[in-house]
Amino acid sequence: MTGLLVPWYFYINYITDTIVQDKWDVPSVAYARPLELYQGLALSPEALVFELDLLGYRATNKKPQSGQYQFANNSFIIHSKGFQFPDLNSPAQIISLSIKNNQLASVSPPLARLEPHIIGRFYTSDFENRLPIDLAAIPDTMIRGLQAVEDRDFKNHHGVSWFGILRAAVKNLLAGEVVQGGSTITQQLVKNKLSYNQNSLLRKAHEAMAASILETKMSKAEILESYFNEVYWGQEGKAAVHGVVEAAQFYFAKPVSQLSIAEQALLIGIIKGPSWYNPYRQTKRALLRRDVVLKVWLDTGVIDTEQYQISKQSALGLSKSRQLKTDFDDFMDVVRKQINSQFSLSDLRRDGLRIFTTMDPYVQFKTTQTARQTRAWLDDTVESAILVSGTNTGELVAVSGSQSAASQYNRALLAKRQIGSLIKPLVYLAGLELLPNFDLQTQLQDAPLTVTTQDQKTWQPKNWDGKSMGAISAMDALIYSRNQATVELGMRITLTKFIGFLQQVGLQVQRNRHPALFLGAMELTPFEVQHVFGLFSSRGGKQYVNSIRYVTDQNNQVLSRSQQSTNHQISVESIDAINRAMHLITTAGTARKLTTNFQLSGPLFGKTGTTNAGKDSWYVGFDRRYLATVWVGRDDNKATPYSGSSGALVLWGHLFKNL
Amino acid sequence: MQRQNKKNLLKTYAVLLLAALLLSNCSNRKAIDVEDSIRDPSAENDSLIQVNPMIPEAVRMLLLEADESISQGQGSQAIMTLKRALSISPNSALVQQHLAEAYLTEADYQEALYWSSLVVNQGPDQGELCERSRRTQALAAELMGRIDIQATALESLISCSTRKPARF
Repeated sequence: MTGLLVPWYFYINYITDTIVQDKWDVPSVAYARPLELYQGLALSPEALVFELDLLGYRATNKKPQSGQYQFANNSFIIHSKGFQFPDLNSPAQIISLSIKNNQLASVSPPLARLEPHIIGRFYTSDFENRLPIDLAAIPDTMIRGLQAVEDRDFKNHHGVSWFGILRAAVKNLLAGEVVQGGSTITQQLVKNKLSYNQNSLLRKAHEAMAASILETKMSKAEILESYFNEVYWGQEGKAAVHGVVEAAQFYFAKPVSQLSIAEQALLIGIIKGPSWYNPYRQTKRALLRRDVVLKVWLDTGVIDTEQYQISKQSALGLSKSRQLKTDFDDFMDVVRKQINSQFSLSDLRRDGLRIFTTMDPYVQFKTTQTARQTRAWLDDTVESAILVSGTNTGELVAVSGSQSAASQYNRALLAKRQIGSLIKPLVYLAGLELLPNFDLQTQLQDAPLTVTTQDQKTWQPKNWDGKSMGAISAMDALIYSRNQATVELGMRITLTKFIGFLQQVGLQVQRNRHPALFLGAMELTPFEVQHVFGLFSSRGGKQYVNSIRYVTDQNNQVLSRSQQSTNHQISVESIDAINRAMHLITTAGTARKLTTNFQLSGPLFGKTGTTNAGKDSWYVGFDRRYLATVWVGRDDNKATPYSGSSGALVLWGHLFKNL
Repeated sequence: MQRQNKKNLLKTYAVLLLAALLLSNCSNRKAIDVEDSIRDPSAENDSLIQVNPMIPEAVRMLLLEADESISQGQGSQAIMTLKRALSISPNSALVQQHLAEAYLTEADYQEALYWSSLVVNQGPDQGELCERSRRTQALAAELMGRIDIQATALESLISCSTRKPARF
């Protein structure tokens, strides 16, 4: 028994420590990539002016001072501000440069860099996207009102209210089910950290123990402050609303300090069950709950009679739209995810970290603009997600998770969708790697075939045009995205070996899958797709899409990160062969629109993907600078009129036309 | 019986000693002198005409800066400088090779193996860079106990200076 109690105690102690250390005194700052200026850099005057404006530089006609620039006849004189980079201190300096044909023709000094733009801040060590608020900034009625409703004995207990538990136990016993929790504010705060789904005795014991320990580590005021910053206040789509700052924005589009008594009461009221009392969906129920809270406040002296009468008469006054995202928010989601997986927890708990990301603000701006046009170029029911990274480096430069700035759901990172024909380059790559005597000139049969599945059913794949081309080369089968020929090749490889191959390139696929896997019957997020195609764009060099270059502490010391080994062991020759086919797809195949309609120059490589009834429209492609994945579809997974080439490819074409 | 016990004891000591040696080899991550082991000036190279890779002037400056850092024993500084060079010329085999060597000096064999393998797979198959990448790959692989990769790298070293038959 002791053997279990000791680790249990340490676990609980650890949980309480994370709550105590959760807030930093000095927030961590995330930076975009610094713009390197050197001869030969592809850069338009428009892009440079965008960057300078973003960094707060001012145009001048006189000799520029620090933070100013002069621009005339495609020549710039910039007086930089200086910056302490992780590798060296760049002092403020004069940079003279000229641009010809969207390329830096001359730069003096020959290598200079501008300071990076701040794209976000993290205020808590769990890197959640929350702006914390001090207790002093929260209205007094709300602070006292929370205690009146949730935990009247808060000032006196030591984390657990035995009287509260007894009262709840009696009520639950009489009701024959759990109708009242009896948790204190401290216990509720702990509950946010412990992820349990049901009301079990073990969870209650955990909470009680942790709450008691927490009360020895934090003052009552600190506990209240953490509570207001942590507590779960509802859901917008798949994005959770945490903390009073976000809740005030979500429900009322207001800062906390400007909430009326009635609005405060509604927020306090819905803590009990944000879904049950969801004011958008259950208006009457939410109104009743608010009035109950107002009555409690009146009875406990939080508000006076006049305030009660005015508040009770007021409507809910909910906001119609949530705060809009900035251009950088979707990228910051990736940074948040990767920083936790690549760096040690103890390092990340330090104050004032500086996170140097790979984001290119200009490409991000163009990507966001492209996403916002989704419904102008396509119909008004579809959503989109776009990711852009360096062709060779695997460095993520831009992300858009929606066509709308109002949507908080980052589809680029979270939406798992069927990938359709995007799988085909991997099927042919597997063929090159696993089958002896197979190359892209090998003849395949694009003809009707019947496959017996594991559950002894028969499956007859068809081509998108309902026709069969007969004997064709593997190259043509890939260029023209022929399903029957691809399945024929897949059956030669075998499903088991193909699944093993997908794991080799970093995709986790369940075993016992259907042969429809050869046609892309698997779900990936756009981010995972970007990762897979990075294998092709970097010719096998980079297997991971990465958003962070360095993280330094306050002393400018670089934190060490976990290794990301590349173990795919796929030959460059095989990858090059697939890339040749993907190039022909952009000139003669399903993505030829890029060269015929959009008239994009330079060698392009890519693959379209469409799933049944246009539920998902994909295009992934790269040129010598950027690799981009575009997904278009509906959130409810219903049909759209778009294929890969009539949907996602349109956004991709516009984006690359403007980069 | 006593003699048998003595024999067994000796055997145990021998096994323990061997294990200790092996373990000490694993944990003793030594820094490598790149000039001596990789860029060996005495190495003869009678391959095709030596060509200086086309890289921007800015990258050339950063390579010199990184070399300077390495010579001063500041490997991590050199790595950051080289990463900066790589952000300018992500395809440059020369930068990638410098990076592999910098990691080798920092005793980060896994990264050294990764970057040198990239040059081996995608870089030139003739000349000095070809040789340097294979030497780096072999050394990093050896220090990681990947004898198979080491053997392949050493076998392919000779091909860097083998004249290929004329194509006409």
